[in-house]
Amino acid sequence: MSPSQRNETLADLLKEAAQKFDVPLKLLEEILWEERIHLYLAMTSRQSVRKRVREILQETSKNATA
Amino acid sequence: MRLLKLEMKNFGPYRGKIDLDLKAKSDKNLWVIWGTNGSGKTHILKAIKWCLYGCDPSLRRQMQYGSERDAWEFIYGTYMEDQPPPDPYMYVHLWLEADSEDPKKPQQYLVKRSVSPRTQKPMNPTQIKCDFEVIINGRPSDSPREAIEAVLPLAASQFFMFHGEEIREMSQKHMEQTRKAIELILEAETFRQGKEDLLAVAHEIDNDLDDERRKSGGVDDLLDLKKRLQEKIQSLDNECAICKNEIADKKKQLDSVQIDLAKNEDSRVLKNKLDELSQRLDEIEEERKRTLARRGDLINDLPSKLILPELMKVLEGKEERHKKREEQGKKISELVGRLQLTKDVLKLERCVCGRPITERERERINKECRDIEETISKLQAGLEEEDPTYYEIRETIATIKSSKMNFEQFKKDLHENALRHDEIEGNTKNLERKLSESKIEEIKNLVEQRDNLLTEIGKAQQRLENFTTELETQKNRLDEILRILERKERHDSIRESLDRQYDLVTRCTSAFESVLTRLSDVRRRAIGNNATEIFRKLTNKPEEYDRIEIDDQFNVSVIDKRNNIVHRETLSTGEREVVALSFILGLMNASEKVAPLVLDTFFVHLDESHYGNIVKALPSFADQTILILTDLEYQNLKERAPSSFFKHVAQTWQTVRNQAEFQSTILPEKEGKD
Repeated sequence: MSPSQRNETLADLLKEAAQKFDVPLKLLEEILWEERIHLYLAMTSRQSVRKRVREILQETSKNATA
Repeated sequence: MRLLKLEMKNFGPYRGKIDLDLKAKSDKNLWVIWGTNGSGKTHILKAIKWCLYGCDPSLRRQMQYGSERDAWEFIYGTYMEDQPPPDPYMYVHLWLEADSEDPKKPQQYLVKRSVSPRTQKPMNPTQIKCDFEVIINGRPSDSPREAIEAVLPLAASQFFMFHGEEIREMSQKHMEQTRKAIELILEAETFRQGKEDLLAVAHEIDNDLDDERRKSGGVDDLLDLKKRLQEKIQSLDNECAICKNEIADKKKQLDSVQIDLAKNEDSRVLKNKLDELSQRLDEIEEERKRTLARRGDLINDLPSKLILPELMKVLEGKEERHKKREEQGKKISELVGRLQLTKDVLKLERCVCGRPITERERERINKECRDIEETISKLQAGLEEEDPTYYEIRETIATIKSSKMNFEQFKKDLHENALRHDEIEGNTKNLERKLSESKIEEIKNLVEQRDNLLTEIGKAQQRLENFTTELETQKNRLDEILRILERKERHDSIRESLDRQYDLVTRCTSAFESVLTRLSDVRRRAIGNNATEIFRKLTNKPEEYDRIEIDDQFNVSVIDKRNNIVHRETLSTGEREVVALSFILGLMNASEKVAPLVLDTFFVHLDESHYGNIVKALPSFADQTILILTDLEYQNLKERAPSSFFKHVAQTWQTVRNQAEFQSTILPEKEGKD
């Protein structure tokens, strides 16, 4: 499985999950991005990841209300 | 992750500094390290693992990051207690590169792990100091351990860099850690971490919600209070308005009265003067009454005044006798004084001039005393008798004279009083002439009206002041209630937002969980397919065995051409090693992580066919492969491997043991096969 195939599969799975659980795909992607940043670069602490995730949730929740 | 260079000093059996260049050049991606048993070849693998993780997985105990016990083994473990190493400093530095988001710009890592003694002669692991540093693109990482985990997790490292014994052990039993390896190596780890973070965030939000619920409840009572306060304020406002109207109305009336009073100003002044005169007349009348009362007393004293001349004549007759008695008394007093003085002289012994008083002189003084006493007796015998009425008559005369004077004063006072009364009465009559009776009545009414209005205005103002104070108090209370309600409403809004966030995070967690499960499934199948592809190249029974399958319990099985599971027990040791290697390589191919493949004494149990297949396929297994071989394995490789294999070898090293000096060394060989 090539990296592009892997990414394609992941993108499909995320899209399906977003639809199934009625969550904006962008939100899942953003949270995933934060986790990736943490895991790949190890530049941020878990606490800061959680803080950022919470911010993303707040923003999404606000936008959804608007 | 690709290794670029290994540098170590005093690690394990090696003394001094050792450098191994591991940077791949064009299609040369194989490195071979060979040597006899115990010459230190496995320590090269251990050095790489210790540098990255600080532990020695081959010790088969619970692996612990940065274990000082493992570090102690690598430098002091090879020496006797009484013969410590001459150089107690040890380090391993590893240069490597790892893929980043931009495939053209891999991240450069320098991993440094070192040991130094805390005391002059360390006796146990607690007396050494271990340092660990990771420099990424020239900048020290704040969390070096996590940086390495991101490159290649410790738990996954066993699938990439392993000793032959490890893969043999792995092939003997079900791979309990397969699932974990998949999660760690594949991006499933990201989802697992993400799910944990989402659950933690959900927990935080839930706690915040509890706080907000506490802060926002109990609004109904406040709303009721707010309504009641508003009603009360409205009622007070009305009362104030009524008071203000009343005051305005009364003031208007007062203005009108004041205008009327101003119009009658002259009359009012006259009236005031008249009132004043009337008051003065009353006062004079009072005074006259008091004076007339005095007249009664004076009339009572009148009879005594009539006998005054008679009393005067009687007193005159008694005056001569009274004077004579006074003169006699005066003379007797003088003689008594003189007698006393003469008696005092007799008591003295000397005269005032200091001369002693003679007897003759004393006799003469005594005679003089007797003469004086005789004279006093004669005078007292001839003294006139005291007249007891003399003083009484004199006192009565004085009283009657004083009474006479009072009577004169009475007559004078009465006269003056009558004069003043006449004068004021005259003035009053003049004023009364100027003012008609009706005018006086009008002014009197106006003044009365004015006074009444002023009193009423004062009362209304007092009421207004009370209402205003009460109004102010109630408004302040209402403001406070409104502020509290506003705060509560704000908390309600926050709570609503938190509710939405909680709902969202719960759904995100479920979505992540779903992706994690699906991803594991998809990738489990992908790993199975990759492993099968490799297995088909390596197995010596391609006609009999069909594929490798990984079930949902992550058991790795071989499926034969009849679609039956070939039980592990029926596979030979070599076959199980081939299955394990196929699974590992399948895992590597399916992984987003890139890591070097280090195979340590792997070929021992392989038959001719398996060996040939593996050697043939080895250069394509990984970007970077390090083979660690015994001298026999190396000899075997040189004899059996095709010449094309050696074209991929970048460098060959031989580990050599110097038994005399209790140390090993590593020597480079010329590249390629002879």
